[in-house]
Amino acid sequence: MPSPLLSVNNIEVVYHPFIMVLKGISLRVENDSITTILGPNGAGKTTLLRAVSGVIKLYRGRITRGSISFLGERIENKEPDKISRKGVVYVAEGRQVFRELSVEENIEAVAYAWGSSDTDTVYKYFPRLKVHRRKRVGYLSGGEQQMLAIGLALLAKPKLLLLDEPSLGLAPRIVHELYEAIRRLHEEEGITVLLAEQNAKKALEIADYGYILENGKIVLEGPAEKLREDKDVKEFYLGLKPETSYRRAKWYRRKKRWI
Amino acid sequence: MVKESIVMGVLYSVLALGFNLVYRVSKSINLAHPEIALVAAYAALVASMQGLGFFLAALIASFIGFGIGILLERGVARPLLGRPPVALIAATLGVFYLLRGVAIEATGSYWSGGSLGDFGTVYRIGAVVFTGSDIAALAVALVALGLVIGIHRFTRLGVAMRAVAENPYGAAGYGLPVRRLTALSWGFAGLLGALGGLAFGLKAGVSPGIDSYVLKALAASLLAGLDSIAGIVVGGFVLSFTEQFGDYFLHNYLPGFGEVAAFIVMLVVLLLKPYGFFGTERIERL
Repeated sequence: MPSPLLSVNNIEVVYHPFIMVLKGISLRVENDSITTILGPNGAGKTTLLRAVSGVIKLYRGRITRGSISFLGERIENKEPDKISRKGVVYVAEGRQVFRELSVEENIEAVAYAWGSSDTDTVYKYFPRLKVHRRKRVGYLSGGEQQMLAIGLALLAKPKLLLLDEPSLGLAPRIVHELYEAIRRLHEEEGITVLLAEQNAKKALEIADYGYILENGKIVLEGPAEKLREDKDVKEFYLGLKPETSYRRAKWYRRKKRWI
Repeated sequence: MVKESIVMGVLYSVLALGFNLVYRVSKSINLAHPEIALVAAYAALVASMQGLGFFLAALIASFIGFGIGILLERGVARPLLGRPPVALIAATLGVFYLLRGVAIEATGSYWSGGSLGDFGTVYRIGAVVFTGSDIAALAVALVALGLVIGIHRFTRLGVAMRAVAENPYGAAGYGLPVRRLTALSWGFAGLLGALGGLAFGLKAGVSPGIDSYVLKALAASLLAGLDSIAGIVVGGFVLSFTEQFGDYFLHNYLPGFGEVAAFIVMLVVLLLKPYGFFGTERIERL
């Protein structure tokens, strides 16, 4: 097996010395893939991405066990800007843009870190932003803000893009547009994507491989098409009803096994 | 009196901007700021007494202010990251006394103060008379103000600093060197403190009471809104005019009004408009 782009080996993450959020998680992100992490609120998806990107340090958290390697290099507990310089760029949940600045200034600010402002790529994938380029970002719609957030990440020329719930609070049509852009970025720019989502249906549509995270542990993993067919995933994440009453009787037991 | 208001307005703006830069990145008030000004002013005094010349003295003061700012971020603000703002306020209050103690020890016989040089010429602009030391103080203050506001407004570095001030977590994800830019903000705040202190020294001589002016500048900060940059000039002027004119009209009834005007302004602002006049009105799309 070729070595993966990112491998997370049995990590534990602890916040504020005592609160353990991830309890021994391992996962692999193959080069040139879209890998997704699914799970309910509080499962640890965000913490996992923060740990990989190093941003965890700003939240007084640290990786206390295990290792994370990117391109064969250990990156756990490194400074976030060092990690991003290696090509791992993190778009946190909740539209991480600079609301007081205009679209152009947002791009300028991030360009400060990277020396070049390749605005064309940003506008190529998100043409709406060009229309609003002199507007204060606080006045843009939620979808446009999320597009800008991903656009800002592009300025860093990422090898691995970590996206945390890009669909959060957006209309289905906008989510569709956003996912199209993510797919194009993957195909045309060759960016590997690690996507944390609650919107399992949408995420499994574009992903190659998926992990399901509950309570800080990985409970299920597999290729996306297998997960789409898995009866537990169907029932708990895709909201498809079981066909027989016998299954309904078993529902509670299966749910228990998971948690 | 108008002249006095103008000069003081600019000086207050410089010092108040130092409070704001720190507040923007650390969401807390740097109570050590007055002592940065004091230490820098004394450094300039000692340097000029040694015959180093004014420009060299100003340069030394600037370096000291900038350096103390950076050290404060490294040594005090960074370890307290994520703690309640009160922790940092209390810690900087400790640094306030530490710096004052160091200044008393280090300056020795200079502690009683002195003049930063003679700028004897008198200039007239219309009916307003400026002394040479007023002009020198104004020049230093305007250079400091112009430099810091200009950097924030027109350079890529400034845009990055504004971005980090607004959303450090997001910025870290995109690879912005958040810690370095935060430290730089503290450094600029220290620089403003130093140049503000130097300007006060030029205007009224260096004395142990110089830091009380800096604390008053906090009122200008609150007036403008603690996270505002350009609004600070308005805050400075409102404060200085209130002080000067309040004292002029009220000193028969309330002697010493000028001394407390700043604190009255602070109280009123906090009661009526806690975010100041130019403070961030959160743009929130619901």
